[in-house]
Amino acid sequence: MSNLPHIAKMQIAKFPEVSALVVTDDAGSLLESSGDIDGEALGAVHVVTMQALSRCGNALGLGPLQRLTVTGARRACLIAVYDQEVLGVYIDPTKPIGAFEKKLETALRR
Amino acid sequence: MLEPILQGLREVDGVQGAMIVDHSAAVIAHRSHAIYDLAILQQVARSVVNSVDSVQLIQDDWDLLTAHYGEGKLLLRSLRTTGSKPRRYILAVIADASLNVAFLGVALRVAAGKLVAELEAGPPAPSPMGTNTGSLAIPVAIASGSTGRAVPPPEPPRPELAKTGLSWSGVSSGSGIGSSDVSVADNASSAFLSGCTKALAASIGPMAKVFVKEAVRKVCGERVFSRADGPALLSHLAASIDDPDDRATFQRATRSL
Repeated sequence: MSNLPHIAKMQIAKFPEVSALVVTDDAGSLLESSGDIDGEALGAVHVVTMQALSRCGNALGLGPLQRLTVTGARRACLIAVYDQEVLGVYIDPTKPIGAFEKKLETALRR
Repeated sequence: MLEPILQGLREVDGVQGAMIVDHSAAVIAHRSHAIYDLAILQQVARSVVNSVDSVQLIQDDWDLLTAHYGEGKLLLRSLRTTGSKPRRYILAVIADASLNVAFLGVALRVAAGKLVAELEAGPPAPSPMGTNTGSLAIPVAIASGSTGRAVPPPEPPRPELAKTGLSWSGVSSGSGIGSSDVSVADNASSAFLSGCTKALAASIGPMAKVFVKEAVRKVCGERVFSRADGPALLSHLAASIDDPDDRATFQRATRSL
């Protein structure tokens, strides 16, 4: 999905529940970011987290890692792998993350 | 008794296993399908702790992490005990694709409450194979090996960040998620930090910038970083690299900065 940075900037960043987003390649190099964040640092953390969880999936025979969600009192985050790119989206934690996942899937399927 | 609580989670449709991991990646208790023996769970525990250490850099109050795979899910629930010696554990639940996450959510909340109460009553001994490993318990513990850990650390990520043209112009308010809240005095200071990061990236990959930022905060506190803080920063970073070869490489690479 080579146009992920474009879709992220033009569509996903404009969703009302999105406070920030980062797109990196699978080595952690920044491709796109939006919002009040350090995209380079966060993108690297996203990739390292995905790598560690991929090792879990490999050991457990769960197949390839597709996405992860992290929730807490102050923020919620969704990190997803699309081909060779990693998208990290920060959303309002009071909004249901399941509904946002569906919305995101629809946006990326267009 | 932790195992009966884990057994309760196992009874949720789709759940194939559950375990409790401590901050050093020791498996404290587990109940799982026979295919997930303790050796596999121990291997998974190390990666679980590594992933949680990373997540805590961006979200230290995380409560639930759900990883979706092609053929199943892995859910990690943070368990924090209170009292005079607060401790952190991770409840990991392994599930196949048939899991109903909403059902498990309810069971997880119930189980987490009971587990915290049990853990507060007294820290259990780890399972026989549960050993300390190369986890990044402290964000700036860059490489593993200094604590007599039995298992080698995972392969470091590729050092691609060194190619990205880092900038340290961030003099933001520090608010927001992962804000670039390292302030620099001038261009020379910014160039110095970029050099440090590139040198560190050769050893640890794309997390280098995160660790340099942490180190700057430790060396300077709320103060603006200036070139005069360079020696202290280099010394701090070098001391954080456990592997002697990596440390020497870092020191060589930063000698000319």
